[in-house]
Amino acid sequence: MNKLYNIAILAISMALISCGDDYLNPSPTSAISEAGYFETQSQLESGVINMYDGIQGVNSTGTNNNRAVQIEFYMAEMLSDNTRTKSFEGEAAQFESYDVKSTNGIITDYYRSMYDIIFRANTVLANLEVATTKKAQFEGEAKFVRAYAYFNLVRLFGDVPLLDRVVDPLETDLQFTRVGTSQVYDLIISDLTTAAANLDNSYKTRASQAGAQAMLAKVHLTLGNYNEARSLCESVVGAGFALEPNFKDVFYNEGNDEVIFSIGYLSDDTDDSQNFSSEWLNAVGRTSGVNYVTDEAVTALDALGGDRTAYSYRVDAIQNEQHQVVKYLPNGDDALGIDAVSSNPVLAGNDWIVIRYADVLLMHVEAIMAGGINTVDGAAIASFQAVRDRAGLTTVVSEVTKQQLLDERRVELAFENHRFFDLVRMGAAIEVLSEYSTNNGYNFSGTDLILPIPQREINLSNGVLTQNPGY
Amino acid sequence: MKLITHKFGMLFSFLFVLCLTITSCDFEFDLPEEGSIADNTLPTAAFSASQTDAEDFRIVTFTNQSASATSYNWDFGTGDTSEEKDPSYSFAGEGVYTVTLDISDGNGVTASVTNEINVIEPEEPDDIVPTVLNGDFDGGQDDWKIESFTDGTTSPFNSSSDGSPVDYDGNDTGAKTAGAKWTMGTSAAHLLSGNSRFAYQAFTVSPNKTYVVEWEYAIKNDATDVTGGDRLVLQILDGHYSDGKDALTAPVLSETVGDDALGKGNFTVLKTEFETNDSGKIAIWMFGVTSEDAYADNIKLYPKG
Repeated sequence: MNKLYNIAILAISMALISCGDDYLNPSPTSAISEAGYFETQSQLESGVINMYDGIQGVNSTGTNNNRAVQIEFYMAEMLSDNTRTKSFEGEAAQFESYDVKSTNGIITDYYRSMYDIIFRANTVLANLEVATTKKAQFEGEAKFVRAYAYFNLVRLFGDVPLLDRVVDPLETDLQFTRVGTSQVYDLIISDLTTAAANLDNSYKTRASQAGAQAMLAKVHLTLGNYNEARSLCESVVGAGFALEPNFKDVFYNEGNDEVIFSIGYLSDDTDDSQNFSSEWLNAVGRTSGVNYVTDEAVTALDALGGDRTAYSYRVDAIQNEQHQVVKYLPNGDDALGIDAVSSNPVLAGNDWIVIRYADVLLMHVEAIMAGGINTVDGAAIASFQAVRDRAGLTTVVSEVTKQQLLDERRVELAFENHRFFDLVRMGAAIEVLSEYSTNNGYNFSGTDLILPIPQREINLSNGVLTQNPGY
Repeated sequence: MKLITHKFGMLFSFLFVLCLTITSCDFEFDLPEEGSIADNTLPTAAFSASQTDAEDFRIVTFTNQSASATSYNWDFGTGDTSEEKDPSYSFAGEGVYTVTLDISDGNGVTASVTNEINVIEPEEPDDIVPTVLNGDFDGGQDDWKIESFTDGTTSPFNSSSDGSPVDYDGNDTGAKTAGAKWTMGTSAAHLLSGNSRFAYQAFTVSPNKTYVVEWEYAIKNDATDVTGGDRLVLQILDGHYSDGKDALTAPVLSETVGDDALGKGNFTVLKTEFETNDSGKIAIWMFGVTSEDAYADNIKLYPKG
C-alpha cells in the first residue's frame, strides 16, 4: 500500500513536470536553433558574422540559393551601358535589353537575398541584451548591414516592404505592404547614423565607422543633401585611408589601404568562396560569359582610363572580338602579371570591394558640385586630381564638369557595381541609356530605372504586393 | 376526303412550324458577357518628367507610369498633344506647365492625371578662377619662362627689386617689392633681337567668357623715347605655345599697353577685359619696347563679375 502511494506521488510529480513547455517544444540537442541559442556575447557574435555571410551569398549557380552580392552585377552593371552578356541570350540578357520580366530568377534571388540579410540583422538587434562589452559595436554592425540591404532594395525596386524587426510568418501585412521610399530612407539614415557613432575602423570586411560614413554620404547624395554628404566625405578623408599607388593592387592586394568595406571570400572553399569571377570569363562558370564589356565602355576606358585601362578590361583570348573584365580575375593573367587567386576558378577567393577611398574622393567632388553643372572649387579639384594622378593623368585640372565627373566615376569604378546607380543618382540615366538603347536596338524606357517586384513575391502575397509601372 | 386530309395535313404542318417558332423564341442565346468576369484591374494614370538633354534644357522626357492602359493622350498645356506612350516635348522656355495624361484601356475605361512640370534653365556654370603662378615676381623668373625659344632666349625679364610697393593682396606697404624689368637691350617689337625677353604663362579658363587681366607698371622717366614711345605690352594669346617663335606670331585676343612714364616706383594699375576663346586655352605674353627701364608687377587674371 505504501509502495503504491509512492508510485502515485511519483506519477503525479512526473505529470506536473511534463506539463512544462519544454516537453511539447523540446530544444534539439543535436543541432543549433535560434530559439534559446543567443545566450552569450560570443554566441551573438556568431550571429553578427552570419550577417556578412548573408551578403557574401551562396556560391551556387541555382536561383533557389540566396546568392546576394555575387549576382549584384546583373543589376548594377548589366542594366547600364557598361556590360552585357557575351551571347545576348537567356534570362541574363533581359538586363542589357531592358526587358526584365517579373519572373526573372536573378531579381527574385537578389530581392530575397536582401530580405534574408535584413532578417539576419534584425535577429542580432533582437538579441542585443546578451551582449556585454560589445553591445554598441554589434548594434552598429547590424544597423550598417540592414541599411546596406535597404539602400540596395530602395534604389532597385522603389517602394518596398519595411521590416525593422524580426517578423512572424503570419504578419503578412508587414511583409507585403510597400512603404514609400522616403520612409525607407529615414530608416537607412537613422541606421547609418547609429553605425557611424558606434563603430571604429578596426575592420575592413566588417562594418566600420568610415564605411558607415561613406555609405551615408552616398545616401545623402542620392537624396540631394549635399552639405551633409560633403562633411561625411571629409570625415572619411581624414580617417587615414589612401589611394594605392598602383591601380592593380587595389584588386590584387586584399585589405589594402584604399579598401573601406569589402566582402571577404576564401579561395577553394565551398562555403566561403564566390563564383562571379568565373562567370565573367568565357564559359568557365555556368554561363557562357556574362558581364562582358560593351563597346561603349571600351571606348570610354581607352579615352579616359590612363593607367587603369589595362587593369579594367582585356580582349577575350577565345573570342577576340569580345572584351572581359580584368578586375577580380580568379585564374590570373600572365601578360598583366596577375597571379591566380584560386586553383579552381569557380571557387574564387577575390574579395568584393563595396566601398573604397577613390569612390569617397569622387563623392566629395559630387557633393561640392551640389547638383550643378560644374565646380571650380579648390577642394573638389584636389580630390578629383588625386584620383586622376594615380591613373597617370597628371594634367592639371582647373574645373570639373558634371560630365567629367560621371566619366571619371565610370572609368575609375568600372565594373564595381556603381555605373547604374551613378547614372540614376546624377540624373543622367534617361539621356544616356536612351541613346545607348537606341544605338544597340534595345528596349529602354523610363520605367526600366526601377526593376519589377518579383512575381514570386506577388504570388506569395496573394496579390497584395503591387507591381511597379511598366511591368 | 383525300383533299380534306391534305388540308388537315397542311394545317398540322403549319401548326408544327408555328410551335417550333414559338418554342424557339423561348430560347435565349448566350450573350458575349455571359461567363466573363469583371475587370478589376482598372487603369491608373501616373507619369514622371525629367529634363534629359544636356544641350537643351527645354526638352522634357516623360516616363509613363500608368498601369493597365492601352492608349495615351498627352496634353502639354501649350496646345500641343501626343499619343505616344513616352513622349519627349520641347517647351518654349523656363516655366511651370500643366501637363495632363488621359489614358484608357481596351474596355474604354479611362483615367487621368495632371502634373505641374517645372522647366528650369540650369545655372550658368561657375567660371574657372585661374591661378597666376609667381604673379608678384617674388620667385624671380620662376613660372614665366616659355619652354623653348628658337633664335631667342627663354629668359623672360630681368629680376628686379624695384617692384610695386603694393603687395599681391592689394595691401600698400610703402616698401618696394620684387618685380620684373625690361630694358633697351631686352626690348622687342622693332627692337627684336636674340636678346629680347618675353614673359609667358599658360592658363586654362572657361571658354567664351569675359575675363579681366590686371597688372601694374612703371617707366623710369621720359628722357628718351623709342619709336612709338617707351612702353610695356601685355598680350593675351589665343592658345598655348611651347616655342617663343610660335608665340611671336600667335593670334592675340587682347593687348594692353602701359606707356605713362611717371617715374621709377610710381606704378599704374591697368585692367583690361577680354573675351576668352572656344578652347579656354590662353596665355599671357609680356614684353617691353623701351629705352628707359620699365617695370611690371602683380599680374592677376580672373573672371569678370
